[in-house]
Amino acid sequence: MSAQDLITTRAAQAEVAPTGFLEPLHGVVALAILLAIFVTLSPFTDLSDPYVVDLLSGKEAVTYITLFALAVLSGLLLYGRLRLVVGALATTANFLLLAWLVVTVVSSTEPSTSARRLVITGTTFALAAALPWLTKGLRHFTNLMIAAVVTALVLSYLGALVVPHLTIHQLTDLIETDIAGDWRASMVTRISPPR
Amino acid sequence: MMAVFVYVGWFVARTGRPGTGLLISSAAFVFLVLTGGKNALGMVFVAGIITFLVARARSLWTKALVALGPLVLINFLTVGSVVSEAARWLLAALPVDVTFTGRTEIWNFALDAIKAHPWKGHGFEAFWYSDAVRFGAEDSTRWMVEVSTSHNSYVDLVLTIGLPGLAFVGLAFLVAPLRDFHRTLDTRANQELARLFLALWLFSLYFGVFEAFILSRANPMWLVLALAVCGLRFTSRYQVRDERQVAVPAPLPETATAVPG
Repeated sequence: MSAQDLITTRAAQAEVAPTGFLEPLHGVVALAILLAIFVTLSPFTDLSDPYVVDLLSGKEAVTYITLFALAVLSGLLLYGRLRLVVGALATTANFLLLAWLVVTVVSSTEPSTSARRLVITGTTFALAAALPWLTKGLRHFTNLMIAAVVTALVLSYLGALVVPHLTIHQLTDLIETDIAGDWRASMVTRISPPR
Repeated sequence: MMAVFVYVGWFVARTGRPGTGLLISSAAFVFLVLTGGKNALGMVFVAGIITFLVARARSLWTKALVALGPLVLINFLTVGSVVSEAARWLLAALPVDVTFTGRTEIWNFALDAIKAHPWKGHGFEAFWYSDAVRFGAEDSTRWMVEVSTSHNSYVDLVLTIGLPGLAFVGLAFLVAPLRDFHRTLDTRANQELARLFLALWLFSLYFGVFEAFILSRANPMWLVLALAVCGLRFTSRYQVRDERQVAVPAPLPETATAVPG
């Protein structure tokens, strides 16, 4: 039986709608996912801080723990509807890719690093897959996107006005001094190659 | 991420709130200009035009040609310029920085590293910052120790998960999403949402020519690509609930159900 056969139109429609006291929580978690990605937990990175090198090398433990917690929470909230999500994504192409990724973890020059990073990558993918299902419909999805994007934009512009040393590339930064003067969004560092 | 916000604003405008959408797109675009990110800025237009054309193409093959043809060409002209005389000759005729702000040096280094493990790669996300790079660098490549990616998603994939890995990523993240978009359910909400996911998907693929983020941990662009790919899948299988039509529910296709958002 294919995944599509499992779905019986209107009966399933009632099943997938979030209801009860947990309903508002769905939107809160969806917004938290968007903010965690669009704004991040440390929106204003000080590039003159020696610790920034650790950030760029992937040692963002707090971020990873937060994303993992959001993924677990999403899974709990979507319990009962997970078969719809997983059913749609259980494709031959995805299975082949996943199997090959496991091979490259096992044969990696640094297996423990690869394994840890595969878990984080998978967690991010799970969050992306869960996000649409945590919303009540097109309008709700759009409202959450607006809320997250406007928050990121306001923080970015405010940051440039209030803390320019943290939001505009400086000559005193430890990296990317060649683009001093260029703005950087509150959330993401644009890593440029050496000239 | 500002480039992504430009598309979100465009989507908001298309779904009934033109003022809010225009404001978001404008604010994001101005910020993007101020960041000096020429590649992201250029790809906003390139992916935007391709989105427009793909959405109007009728056959799957035409969609594939329009969506993926330029991607192959741009990769040939950028990464290809490191190894191909023809690419360098073509590039010389274009008004661009032929080093792509120093990226060609990194690509050269990465392509050399690929030769050591072309099939299985160096290991998932295990090349940059690895002991091999940090302690194996010679004086001439000492600066590589500070480089965190190869600044090309496709090169980075071959470098870490090998050529088979790139092929599997191609199936899951290039071929399948395009087929899914071709099969988007014919409801207004599905079409509108699928158009957003198409734009985000195409922008991610094209921006991937200059930055490496595919399968990359918690990278925001990786989440955007994953969201686009999953979204295209869902909108091809499940009917999106449209709160604007609560009074008159749309008929559901036989094999479809309603998916929120």
